[in-house]
Amino acid sequence: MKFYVLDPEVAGELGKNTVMDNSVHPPKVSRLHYELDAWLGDDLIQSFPCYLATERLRRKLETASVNGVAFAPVEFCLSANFKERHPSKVVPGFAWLKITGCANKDDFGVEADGRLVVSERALELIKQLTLKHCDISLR
Amino acid sequence: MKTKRALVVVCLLILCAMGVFFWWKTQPQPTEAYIQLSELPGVSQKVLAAQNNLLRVDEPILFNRKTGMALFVVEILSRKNFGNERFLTFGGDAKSLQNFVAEITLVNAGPSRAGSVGEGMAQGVESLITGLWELLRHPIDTISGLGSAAYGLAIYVKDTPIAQVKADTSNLVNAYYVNEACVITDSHGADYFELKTDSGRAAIHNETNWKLGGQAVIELATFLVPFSKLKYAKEVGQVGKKVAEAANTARRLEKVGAISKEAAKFSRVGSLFPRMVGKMTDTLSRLKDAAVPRRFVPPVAKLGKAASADYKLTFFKAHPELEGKVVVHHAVEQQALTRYPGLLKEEELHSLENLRGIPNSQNADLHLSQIRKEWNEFYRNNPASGMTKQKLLNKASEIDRRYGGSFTPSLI
Repeated sequence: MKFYVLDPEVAGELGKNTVMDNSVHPPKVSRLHYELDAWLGDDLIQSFPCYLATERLRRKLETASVNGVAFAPVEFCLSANFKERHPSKVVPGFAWLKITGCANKDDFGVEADGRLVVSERALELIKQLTLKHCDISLR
Repeated sequence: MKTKRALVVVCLLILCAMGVFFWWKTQPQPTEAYIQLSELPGVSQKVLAAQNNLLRVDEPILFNRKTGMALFVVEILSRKNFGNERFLTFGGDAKSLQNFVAEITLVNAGPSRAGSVGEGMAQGVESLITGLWELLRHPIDTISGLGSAAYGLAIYVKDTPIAQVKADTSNLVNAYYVNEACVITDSHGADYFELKTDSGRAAIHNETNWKLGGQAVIELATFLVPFSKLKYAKEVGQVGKKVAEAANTARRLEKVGAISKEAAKFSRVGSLFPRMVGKMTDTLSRLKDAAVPRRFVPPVAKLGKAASADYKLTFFKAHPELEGKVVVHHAVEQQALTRYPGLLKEEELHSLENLRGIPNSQNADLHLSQIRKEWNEFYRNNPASGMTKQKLLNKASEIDRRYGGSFTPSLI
């Protein structure tokens, strides 16, 4: 099976309520607060070392029973800049993708440096939604 | 019956597939995108080989799909020949980069010309004007070289007021000189109208001066009569559609500083030098949407001390005219406080020195997203254990250099 390294859109940054252990690298995040600042519309976004999916992507992945990923809640907010620039934009809910699988084996996995690796099947599912600002390279 | 039904199904499937294909093809693509150098349409192997050897084109490159133009931020790596014009930003396409590589190569091939900026052409033109003027005042000495043109020239000099002859001489010489310089630049694989550096222009002008010998004055004299007729022709259209277009484009580009006055003048006498004017027309029409070349000193990111945590207030107090026109962004990102606790103070992060304005008129979301992507890669490659304030500032400086031309106020 083919695997792909994904470098998704970075639509915002870690908020101040994020709790992370910096003594290891990639850091271990136990609570995620994501502040959306400049979203170009992709269903998969990130801020190192965390990945997030829109609720519709989450549903798609759950329905397809992909392995190597669990979903966790995220404290999600819009930055003041975003609200000012896009006062009427409807932003969907996002879920935190907790990657539990092995890279190059499961549908979702991460490499040692935290880079996301997905199977061809998982990529096809994500691509059925919006994925225009994600760098994709064959593993 | 079964075959008929199967045929209908196949046809329907084909129609569906075509529908999906056309839908996919007509989906709007964003006009602006960040791309790698290797993805630039038409980029040559020569340019790719020069990357990180002769020059460094900062990647990613902002590319406009509609105009086909990119914005390049470039560092010339051969320092000694280019003096203080090592860092440039300019608009263009793959051909512009190829011409620029040729320009660097030709400057490097000769002695260092840093400092001899801008003198070459003026000197060359002056000596040509003097020569031509001498010929007009004492035609007998050189009449043998003029051949049949001598008659026309004699009539022109006799019938034309002296002030007009002087003006004609000066204009013609400029155009003649530019034509020679174009031919020489061409022979180096570069384009005179796309020369980006003073060192490149100096190299070409030095070579042009060297090549313009005594015969040039004779040739100029034979041009003077048709030139004078052309100059006083009322309609630009009389000199041909292509030349007229070139003249109009050149006038517009001259106004925004994209090309020199000499180039603009050159376009107006194009019918005398059709090959080079044709070339110039192509260049100008190719580059009509390109950003004007600019030299810059790489910015260095710093942190100050903010009086308030309201960073927008701080920014717009310093730049009240930008309120509502820009998105205020932190050079060293706010999340650095979360990622590297204790390394930075909030007052440093929100200081004016750390704030940048990204114009709303541009695609601010695209720029912000790209900058965030760069920082994301930085966080990935730099564990918190080895992080320092200087490392963060160095990264911010790198980003300022790459994107600072799009900021308001501009950093480069």
